[in-house]
Amino acid sequence: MTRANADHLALHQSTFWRLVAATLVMSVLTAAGALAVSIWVGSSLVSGIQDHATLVLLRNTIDLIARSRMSMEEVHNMELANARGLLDLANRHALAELQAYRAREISGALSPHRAREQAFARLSELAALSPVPPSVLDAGLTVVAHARAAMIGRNMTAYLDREGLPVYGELLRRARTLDGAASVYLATFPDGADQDGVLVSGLYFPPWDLLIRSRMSMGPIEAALAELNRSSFNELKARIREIGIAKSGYMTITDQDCNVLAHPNIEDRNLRELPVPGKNTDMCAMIVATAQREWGENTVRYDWDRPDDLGHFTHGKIMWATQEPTTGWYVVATAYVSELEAGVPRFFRSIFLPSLMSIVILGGALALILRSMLKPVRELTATCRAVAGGDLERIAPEDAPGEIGYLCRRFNEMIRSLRDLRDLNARRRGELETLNTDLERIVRLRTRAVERKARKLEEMNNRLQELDRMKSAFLSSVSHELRTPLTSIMGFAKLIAKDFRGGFLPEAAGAPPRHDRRKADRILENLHVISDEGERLTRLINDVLDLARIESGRMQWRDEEFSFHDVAARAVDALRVSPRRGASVRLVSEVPADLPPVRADADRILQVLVNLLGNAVKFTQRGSIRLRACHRDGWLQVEVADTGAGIRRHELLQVFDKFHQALGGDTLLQKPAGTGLGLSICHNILSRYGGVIWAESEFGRGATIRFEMPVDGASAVAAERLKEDAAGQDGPLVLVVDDEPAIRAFLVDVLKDAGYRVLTAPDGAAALELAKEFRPDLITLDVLMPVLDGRETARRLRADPDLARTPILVVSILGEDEDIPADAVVEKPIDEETLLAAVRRLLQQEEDAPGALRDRAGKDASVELVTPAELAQRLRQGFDGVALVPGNLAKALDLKALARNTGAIHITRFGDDDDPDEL
Amino acid sequence: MTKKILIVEDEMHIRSLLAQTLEELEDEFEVEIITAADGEEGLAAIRTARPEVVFLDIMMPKLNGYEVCRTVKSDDELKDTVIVLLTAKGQEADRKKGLEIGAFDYMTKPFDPDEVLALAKELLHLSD
Repeated sequence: MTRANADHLALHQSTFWRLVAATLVMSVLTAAGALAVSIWVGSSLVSGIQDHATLVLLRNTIDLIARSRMSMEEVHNMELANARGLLDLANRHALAELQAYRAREISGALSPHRAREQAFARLSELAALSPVPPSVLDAGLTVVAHARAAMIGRNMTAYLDREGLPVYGELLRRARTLDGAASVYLATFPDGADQDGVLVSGLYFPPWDLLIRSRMSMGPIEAALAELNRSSFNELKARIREIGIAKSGYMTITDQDCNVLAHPNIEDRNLRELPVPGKNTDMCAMIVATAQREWGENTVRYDWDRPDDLGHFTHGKIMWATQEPTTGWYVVATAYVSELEAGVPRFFRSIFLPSLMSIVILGGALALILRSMLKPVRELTATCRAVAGGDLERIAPEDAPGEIGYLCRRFNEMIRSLRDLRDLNARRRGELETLNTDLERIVRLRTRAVERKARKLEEMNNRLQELDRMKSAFLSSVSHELRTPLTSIMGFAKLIAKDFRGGFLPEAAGAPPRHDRRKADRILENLHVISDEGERLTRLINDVLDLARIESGRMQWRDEEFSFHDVAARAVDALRVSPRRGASVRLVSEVPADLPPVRADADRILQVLVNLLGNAVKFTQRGSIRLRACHRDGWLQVEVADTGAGIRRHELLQVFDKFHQALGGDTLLQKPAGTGLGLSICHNILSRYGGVIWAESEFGRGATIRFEMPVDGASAVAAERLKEDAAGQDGPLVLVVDDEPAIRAFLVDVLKDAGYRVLTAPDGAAALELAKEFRPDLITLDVLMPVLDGRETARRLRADPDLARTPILVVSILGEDEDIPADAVVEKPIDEETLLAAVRRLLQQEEDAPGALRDRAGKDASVELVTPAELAQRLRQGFDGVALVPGNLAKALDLKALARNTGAIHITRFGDDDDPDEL
Repeated sequence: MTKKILIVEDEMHIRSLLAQTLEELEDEFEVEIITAADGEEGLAAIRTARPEVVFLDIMMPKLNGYEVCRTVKSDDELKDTVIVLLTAKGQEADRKKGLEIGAFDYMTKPFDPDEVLALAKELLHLSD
C-alpha cells in the first residue's frame, strides 16, 4: 500500500475521532457552563434555603417559648381550681351539718341555743378530722367553731392582708352577696408563714348569719409550680442548645434587657457588654434593631473576631433576630458565613457529578453509534481505494441502511460501468495497436522518403551556397589576379615611357631624321594608350567589384560625418584635372558651404558625384555642367545638369540598369569611355542610404540627374538593419562590437552567411546598451575602441548579472590578452573559418568539430579537439576518458573494434546520425 | 651611408617593376635595392640587411604581410623599420588594419610608379 493510501485510511479514522472529539469538547463546554450556572444558582439557592430554614427555626423557637409559657399558666389555674374545689367541698360539708342542726331547731327537737351549741361542737369535731378544716365565724367575725379549740372565741376582724384590707370582713361581704355560692379569695399576708398567699373560701349561712370558711396556704402549690416552670425552661434551653446552624452556628435567647437566658456558652451576661467589632454599636443594640425589622428582612451581616485553625481572626457572621411578643424575649440565630457557604460545593457536586456522568455516558453511546454508522462508509472507502488502484472486481457492501446503503449501491453500479468501459477500452486498444503498427510502418516509410528529399534539398542548398561563395571568391580573386598583371602592364608602360622620354627622345631630337621623330612620338602615344586602357580596365574591374559587393551585401561601408561641400569640391577637382580633350565645357559647382554635415560613407558619395560628373563630362561637348545642392527637411538634394546630348524618354529609367550604355546620340559615333556601371552603382549606393536617384531630360537639350538622400543616411540604415536583424530570422543573436565600420561590416557578412542574427555597435558604451536591450547569445569585441575600450566593456558585461554568462569573443589584432575576461580570442586579420569555429564553440554548437576527447579527471577535465586520425592514435595509446564523436564519423572509426580494445574509455556518438537502422 | 630598401613581393613582375622604379633613386641617394619573394624570405632579409624602408605585399605565400609587419614591430631591434604595405583595391579594412599594427603607409594596386618613387624619396629623407 502506498503512503497516500495509508493517509486516506488515517483520514477515514479521524472522521470518527473528530466527531468524538467534537462531542467531548461540547460536553466539556456544557459541563463547564452547567458548573458555572450551578455555582451561581446553587450559592443563591443554598443561602436562600439557609435563610428560610433559619427563619423557620426562629419561628419554631418563638412558638416553643410561647407554648411553654401557656402550659405553665394552665397548670397554675388547674391547681387553683383544685384547691378551690377542696375548700368548697369542706365548706359544703360544714353547711350540711349546720342545716341538720337548724332543722332540729325548727322542729323544736333542739332549742336554738342548744342546737347552735351542739352544731358548733360537732363542726369543731369534724374539722379536726378534715385535711382542709373549715371553721365558722359569726357576723362579728368571732370564731365559733374551729378545729383547734384555742381559736374559738377569737375575733378575726383585725386579720388584714398586705394591702391592709380585713381579709374575713371582705370574705363575709362577698359571701353574703353571692347568696350561697362560694366566695374564693386569695389573700396574701404581710407576715407569717404564708408568704405565697392563702386561698380562702367562704360560704354564708343566712339562718344563723354565719360565715363558713376554709383556707389553704398557696406556698406548696406555688413551690410545685415553680419547680415545674424551671424544669420546663431548662428543657427549652437544652433544646435550643441542640439547635445547630451550619457547623458552629447557634441560637441565643435573651430577655427584653438583653440578659442572656439561653446560650451554648455564656450565662448570666448582658449583651450590652459585647461590642460589635468594626461597628460603633453593641450586640444588644444590633439585635434590637434587627428584630424590629419586617419578617424575612430581620437579618444582618457583621464581622466577629475569633481565631480559627487557619489563623484567620476575623470572620463574617450572619444573624437573624426576632422578639417573642408575650415574653418580650429576643430569639437570635447566628452562624459563620463561610460555614453556610460550605454547603454550596456540596450542593454543586450533587448537581454536577450526576450530569457529568450522564454526559460521559451519552458521549460514549454517541461514539459507539457513530462507529457503527461509519462502518459502511469505511468499507465503501476501502472499496474506492481498491477501485482507484485498479481492482474493479471489488464491490462495496450493499446491506447498509439508509443513504449510505444507497450510495454503496450507486457506487457499485459505477464500478460495473467502469468494468464495461475497461473491457471496451481494452478491445479498442487492441484494435488501435494493430492500426498503429500499420500506421507506424507507413509513417516510417514516408519519413524516410521525406528525409531523403530533405537531404537532397539540403545538399542542393549547400551546393548553391557553395556556388555563391565560389562566385564571391572568384570575383575577389579575379580582381586580384587581374590587378597584378595590370599593375605590371601599366607600371612598365610608364617606366618605358619615362625611360624613352629621358633616354631616347633627346637622342632622337638631336639627330632628327623626321620619321624617327614621328616614330618616337608614336611610341609615346602608344605607350599612353596602354596606360589609358590599363586605367580603363582598372576602373572596370573596380566597378564590377563594387557592384558585386554592394549587391551581395559585402561592401564595406565606412559611415562617418562629413561636409558635403568638401566632397563636392573634391569631385569637381578630380574632373577638372582631366578635362576631355577637344571639349569646351565649363564645370560649375554651386554647392553652398553651410550645408549641414552628412552622415554616410564619404568615399561612396564622392564616387557617386564623380560618376555623375564624369558621365556629364563624357556626353557634353559644349556648354556647362552644373552641380547644385541644397538641404530641405533633413534631406540632401543634389542635381548634376549638363547641356549635352540628353537621354531619350524611354531610356530615362533604363540608364540605371547594369551595363546600360547610351546608344543614342554621339555614342554611335564615339564609343563611350564608361563601363556602363556608373549609374547603377550610384543607384545602389543611394538606395543603401534610403535615397533615390532619377534622371530628367529633354533629348538633345541636356540631361539632369537628381538625387535625394537623408542627411543622416547612416542612422537610417542602421535603424533599419537593427530592426530587421533583431526580429528577422531565428538564429542565435550575435552582437558585433568594433569601431571600424569595415570590420564590422565584414563580421556581419560572415556571421549572417552562417545563419546568425547580427547586431552591431561602434563602441563599448553602445554595446552595453544594446546587450541590455537585446540579450545577445554572443558578443564579439574589439579591444581598441573609442569611448569605452574592449577591456572595460568586457569587465562591465561580466559585472552585469544578466549578461555575465554571455560568451565574449575578442576579435583583436592584439591577440591573447590576459586582462580581458574573454571566452575566446580571434586574431586579426580575421580568418572566416577560425571565427565561425570559435563562435560555434562558444555557442556550444560543436557538431561540426571533427571529434573531441575529454579526460575523465572530473572537474578539471580538459577538452581537446582532434581529427579522426589523431583520435585513433590517442585511443591506441591508452587514452582514458570520454570521446565525443559526431555521427557522421562513427562509421569511419570502427567503434566496435575500439570499444573492444580499450575497456577504460567511453565513446559517445552525437549529432546527425544518418539512420539508426543502419547501425 | 648606404640606405637599403627592401621589396617583399611574390609576384615576380611587380617585384621587378618596383625594383626598376626605385633604381631611379640611385641618382639622388646612396641606395641599395634588395628583393625578397615571400614573407619568410623577407623577414630573413629584414633581420640580416636591416633595410630602412620595406615595401611589403600583403597577400603572399608562407608568411603574409601582416605577420611580417607584426613580427618586425614587436622586435625591439627592428621596430624602427619603415613599412609600406601594398594592398589590392577593395580591401580598405586591410589598410586600416595594417596601420594599426604599425605600417607607415600603404599603396593600392595598381600603383603609379611615380607615386611609389615620390613616397620612397620622402621616406628616405625622413630616415636621415
